[in-house]
Amino acid sequence: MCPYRPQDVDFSITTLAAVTAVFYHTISTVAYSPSPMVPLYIKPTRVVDSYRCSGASSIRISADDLRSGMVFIYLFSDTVARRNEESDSTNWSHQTQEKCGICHGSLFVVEGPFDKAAEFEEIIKSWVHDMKHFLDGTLKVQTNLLPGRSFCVIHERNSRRFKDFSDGQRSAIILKKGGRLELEKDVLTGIYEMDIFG
Amino acid sequence: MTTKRESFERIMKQLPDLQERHAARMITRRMLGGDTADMVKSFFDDLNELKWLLVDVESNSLPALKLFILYLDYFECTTDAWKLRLLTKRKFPNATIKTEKPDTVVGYCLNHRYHLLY
Repeated sequence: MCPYRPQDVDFSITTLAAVTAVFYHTISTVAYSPSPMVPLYIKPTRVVDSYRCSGASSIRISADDLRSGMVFIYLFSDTVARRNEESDSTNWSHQTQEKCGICHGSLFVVEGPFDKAAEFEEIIKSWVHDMKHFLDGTLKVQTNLLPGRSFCVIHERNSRRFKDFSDGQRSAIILKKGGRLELEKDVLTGIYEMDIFG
Repeated sequence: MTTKRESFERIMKQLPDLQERHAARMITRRMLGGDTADMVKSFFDDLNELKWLLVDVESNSLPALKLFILYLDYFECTTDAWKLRLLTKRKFPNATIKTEKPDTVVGYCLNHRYHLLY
């Protein structure tokens, strides 16, 4: 029998390596969205907050809301669906990575001001701890920093400050003034689609 | 290069088999009280096949979308299924699709508070 199904949990469709499709656009004020989901605007406040998103979540982050804050996004996927494949995720072919699977959490967001970075770390550690037993061996080792899977979003004027804070260890998406980021998962393909305007 | 017409023909050809397998799967799950490893593998094989069929026709097949919703429901991807219902209703306004927001439990992380976003 299927051994990995905790009760009363909303699962989510995913690709095995949380493939992210990134599209760059020039800044536009109007965007046509084929999605029926109302996007949630993530605006860092003076306190640190975290959000657990469902598979159907649609989030937007505007550079103008970032000011001296930052947003951390962690895209989660697991390997529940992986069968008869290499257990080492680095050997997965592109086709394998795009295969659909099921995970028990799709993404989470932590937002707040720069000067509360230590709190960010605590929350991220806690989330990752709760989720990492779903990951395969190699992903487990890399789970604190997976290129394209976890990243911060900051305003360009904070880029130097961010480097000092992260010691160059964490990847960041830097939004220009007036820029914005939109993130949503395609529930057919399980691929996260990220649009960056700016 | 596959044309749209060929893609629709492939859906028409393959959908009955996929539907039949899923019906059998649901009955077997009820009888066994769960899924075997083979059932899960076959489920994901079908899921991936249907995914590409739908991508090829830009999700313009109502029966294929309905089957995909059934797949998502089968694995309790409740909010994903709701989103796909909304998308389907938007594409096919005359289709009978329930679009109520689901009442879901999304997680059980005890170590910290969190907000749940749809």
